Amino acid sequence: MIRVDNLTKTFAAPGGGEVHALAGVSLWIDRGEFVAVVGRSGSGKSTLLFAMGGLATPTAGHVQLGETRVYDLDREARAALRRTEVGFVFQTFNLVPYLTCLENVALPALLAGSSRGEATDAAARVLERLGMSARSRHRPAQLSVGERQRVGIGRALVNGPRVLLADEPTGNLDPATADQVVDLLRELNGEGQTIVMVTHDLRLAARAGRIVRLRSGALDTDPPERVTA
Amino acid sequence: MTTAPWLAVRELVVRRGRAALACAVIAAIAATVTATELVARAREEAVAAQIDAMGPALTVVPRGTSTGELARYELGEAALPASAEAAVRAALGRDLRAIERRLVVHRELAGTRVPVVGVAADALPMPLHGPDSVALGSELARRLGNEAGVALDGRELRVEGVLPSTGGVEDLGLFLPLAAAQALAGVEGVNELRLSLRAGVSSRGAEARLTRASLGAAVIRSDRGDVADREAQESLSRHRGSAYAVMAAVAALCLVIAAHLDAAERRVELATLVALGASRRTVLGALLFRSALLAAAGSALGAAGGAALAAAQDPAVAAALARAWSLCVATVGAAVAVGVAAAIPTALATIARDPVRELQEG
Ligand SMILES: Nc1ncnc2c1ncn2[C@@H]1O[C@H](COP(=O)(O)OP(=O)(O)OP(=O)(O)O)[C@@H](O)[C@H]1O
Ligand SMILES: [Mg+2]
Repeated sequence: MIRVDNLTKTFAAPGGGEVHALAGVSLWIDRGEFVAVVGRSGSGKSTLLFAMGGLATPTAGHVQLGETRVYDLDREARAALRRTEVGFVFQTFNLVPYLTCLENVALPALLAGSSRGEATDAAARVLERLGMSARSRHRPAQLSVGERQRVGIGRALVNGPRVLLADEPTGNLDPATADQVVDLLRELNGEGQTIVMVTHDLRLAARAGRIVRLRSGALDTDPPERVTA
Repeated sequence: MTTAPWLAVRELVVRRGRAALACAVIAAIAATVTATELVARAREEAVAAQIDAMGPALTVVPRGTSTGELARYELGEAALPASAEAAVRAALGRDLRAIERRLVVHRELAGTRVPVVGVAADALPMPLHGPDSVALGSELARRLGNEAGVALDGRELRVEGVLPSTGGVEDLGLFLPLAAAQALAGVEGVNELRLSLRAGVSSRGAEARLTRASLGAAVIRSDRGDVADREAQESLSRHRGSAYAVMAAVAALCLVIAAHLDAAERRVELATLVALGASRRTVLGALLFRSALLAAAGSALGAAGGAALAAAQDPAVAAALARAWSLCVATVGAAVAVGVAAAIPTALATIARDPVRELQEG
């Protein structure tokens, strides 16, 4: 379903030389999997996640999402792919501060061309599903951090993406709230949602279906690793 | 596509406090421009009216080459060719501000030969009602003294009023409705076209154009009208355009800074939009639309305020306020254009950034 093939991402280091954020990562993720990506800080987890979402052009290698080779597409086509096939969840939530929760969740639907009515209906359904209906008219600043992340997840889900890509979704949450967010992700996974979650909390990673470990831009076990939940 | 304007409107409405300063600067500039322009226009119109009262810049009369022809003209028997007025309008176009048709004949009155002038009923400060209604030049009124009425060719005339002195031959004139003068002289047309030119148009140049147009008539230029026109031009219009250009540049600078600060503050938000799949056009549109909206709101407030201020200070502006809306629309239109242009560099720089980097640093 998601196929990462010998993915390499090299940055020019500020003082000259190169940083190999990803050094030939190959990975296969099946439909309906819940994969946790773990590794030390700087091991390339975020780079891998953004590359899988079509946001970071690799230096070499391929990402295939369904039947589509992501980086064979031009920039606008990749944006269109992100609108419909990918849902990003961020550590700092990155909700649009001047929009209400309902509008934040509706935003990807609007970007994908839905009418205001359709987008609002879809967003209301998602918020209902996440138990956040009562907060529809609130702005992000009026919510607790755990609620903000629920809205962030709602925004990622509204267009029914193939895959949810979450970069440290619990990084800014206290342990109890973090557990609730992972509970939610597990529920969604139980409903068939494919999820890739970056975390450095091994306790939370253990609750995913599979753990992928990165070290210095390479997989820590022999790729392609394939374990199902 | 419609997401961009929607985002811009939401952002500006919810976070209007952040845009307030830029909005206020634009409003102040728009108010200054609008008030200056309205007062200047009112003054120009007042000066133009004064020039009209002094006399026309150019006068078109029948051409007389022999003494006999000149005499016939003096008596009011020679009229201008019927085509002359259209030919004048064609030759001068927009440079012609007003054209006044007159029939001038000469008659004995109060012991002297006075010009009897047929004019349009509304051409004088006091209206003329009917064929027996007349107005007197100030010198003629003095000579007639306290005589109760005026009789011309045996007809009793009703004096509606005395015209202010111009210091010219007009002061000796008897003014009556054009139709009455035509009946008196037995002439159909007119023998004088008095032309007022738009402020800043050289009467010398206009005279040359009329001469080339072969009107079949003579053109007389009045130096007085020429000088007055030039003075009006000198005092009012010359440097306005450059002052407005400077103001537009200040507004543009303000909007450039506003757009830059806004985009810098929203780097993570805009990168998030890209991650969510916003096209470059959407991000570009949201930033340009925001700047345009800011400029529109500021300039609309400023233009309305400036017009109100100018009207409160200057009764002539207040009288012409109904015509000020076109100026306000032009001000807002110019501000929107400046707003869009000012945001282009920032918007292009924003979409050129690497969204991953912005997301990682945010
Ligand atoms: N734009 C960039 N320019 C240069 N180097 C970069 C850039 N982005 C990432 N890197 C480097 O690539 C490596 C991997 O970065 P990445 O952000 O993927 O790590 P990470 O595993 O997500 O770390 P963390 O757990 O701290 O988030 C790091 O050494 C980082 O410094
Ligand atoms: Mg990271």
